[in-house]
Amino acid sequence: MIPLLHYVLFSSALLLIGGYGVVRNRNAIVVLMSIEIMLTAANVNFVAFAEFWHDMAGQVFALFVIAIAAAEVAIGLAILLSLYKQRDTIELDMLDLLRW
Amino acid sequence: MAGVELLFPEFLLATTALLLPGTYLLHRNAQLCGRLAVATLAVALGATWLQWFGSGAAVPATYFGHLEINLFSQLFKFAFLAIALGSGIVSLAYLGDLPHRPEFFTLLLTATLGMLIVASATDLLTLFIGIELAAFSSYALVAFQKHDDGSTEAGAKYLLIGAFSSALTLYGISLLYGLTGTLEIAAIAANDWGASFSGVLFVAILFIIGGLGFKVAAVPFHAWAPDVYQGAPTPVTAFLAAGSKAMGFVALLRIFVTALGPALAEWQMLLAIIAVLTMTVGNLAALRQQDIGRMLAYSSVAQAGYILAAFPVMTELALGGAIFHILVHAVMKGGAFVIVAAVGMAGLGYTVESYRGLAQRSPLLALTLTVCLLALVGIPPFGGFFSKFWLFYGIFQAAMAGQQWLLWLVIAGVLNSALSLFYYLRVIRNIYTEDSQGEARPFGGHTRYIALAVLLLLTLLIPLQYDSILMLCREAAASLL
Repeated sequence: MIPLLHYVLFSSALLLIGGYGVVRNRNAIVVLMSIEIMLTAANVNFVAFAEFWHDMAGQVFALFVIAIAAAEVAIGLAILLSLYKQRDTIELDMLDLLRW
Repeated sequence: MAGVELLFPEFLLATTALLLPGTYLLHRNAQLCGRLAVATLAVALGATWLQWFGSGAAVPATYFGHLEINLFSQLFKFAFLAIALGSGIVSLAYLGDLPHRPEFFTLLLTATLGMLIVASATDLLTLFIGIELAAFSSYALVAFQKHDDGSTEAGAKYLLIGAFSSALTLYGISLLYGLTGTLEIAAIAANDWGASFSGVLFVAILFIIGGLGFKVAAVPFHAWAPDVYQGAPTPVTAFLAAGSKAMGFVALLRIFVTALGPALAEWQMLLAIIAVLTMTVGNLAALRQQDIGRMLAYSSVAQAGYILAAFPVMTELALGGAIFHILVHAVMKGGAFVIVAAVGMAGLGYTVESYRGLAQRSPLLALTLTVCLLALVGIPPFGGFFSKFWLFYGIFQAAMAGQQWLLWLVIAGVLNSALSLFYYLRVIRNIYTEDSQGEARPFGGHTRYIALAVLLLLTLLIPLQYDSILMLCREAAASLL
């Protein structure tokens, strides 16, 4: 039996890695991937807490989050594709048309 | 199942959203699909109205502990459907003959469906799915004009920032679940937090504020709003400014006031600081905007600050005032963006200068925009005054009743309202005093009916009926506490 604390530390680490990726990366696809890591962090929490409380709701939530994450990537890639067709780049630094 | 007919608007929207692409494949008539979607929204709005004032609507109905239809949810369902109907009608004219219009209206319906789910959700899972359904649909709506640079860029920014914020909210929810062992809002509210300050709960609250703060564009999470409001197709901007923002507040009300109300001490000061920061930064940034969409976006940030000021107070009157102001804000801001859409459609442009001599071009649109802007400041005869007055009066009363420091929220709010007058007056001066250079231009389609409806709401219905609307809002607030 792995103690709850280990799961929480693992999910915090995932969240920090994801957050770092979002802040540091200039490529929109990598940012999208980092956001997926953050969603996974929440999923680890849900499953671990569901086991801890003996409550199925958390596991159900994790299943929904997986579906939501897939939908998010589908919409994200579609929008980034149309951005790429416009500008031939998905570097975030180039998103400067609208500013101040 | 008892009370299942109260979910008729949701079922209707879901069914039509699924049928619309098929209808287009069969008939190849995009205009028909648009009209069908608008008709669906109108029928759903009518059904909500009838259920509300008709038989047995006062009885709250619950569905497996995930959804509950009560006065609060009926009030907001009605508002969301009205907003979607308005922006749907404007879109019919605004989109012209762009390709992919059936998809646009399908997404409008699913976004509205998500908002309806948020309005009646009673557990965090349903709430989160509703928020995400509305958010995903609106990412695609913002990026809809895919051959327009601004629209695509706004869509990409909105997507990345929105996805990041929903990941934060989700992590906050998972921590909250870990602390309480339940996702049901009522069960979380029943949790005994004890008197001592809990660090883990505070972290969970920070994550949730970080995530939902993006939705309502609270400082310091507001940076996306001006970009998206400027770049998105204007009817979508109206939909986001009025609907998506109200949805964010519904989620905040459910989570903070209902679920975390007993843990008030943990978040009271935090939300008070965010509220004052939000109104001040929003108004200061709006002062120097040249693009009308950006100016209205910053004004929208400021309005979010006024509404957030009611959260730390947690009295029925202040929250009733806040709900009243959320609804009136949707009318004022939605109405202003409808006029912006009409002026843009006429080819006049989107800067403050575009409004020179609008009074000569179209007296009705000019008058409606003026009324909307004055109502946003909170000038007495118009609708915005009443909601803002009761919001601030509710805070003032709570301050007098004991918590003296809350007075600062009222002072900040009143000073900020005075400050906001400057940038609204700049537009109003352009409308009335300058000469319009060039010929008269036609203003698009049904926009003038929406403008007329907004005008009547702000000058007649809300001022004359403010006491009964306030009563409704207070009842809705009481059901949250």
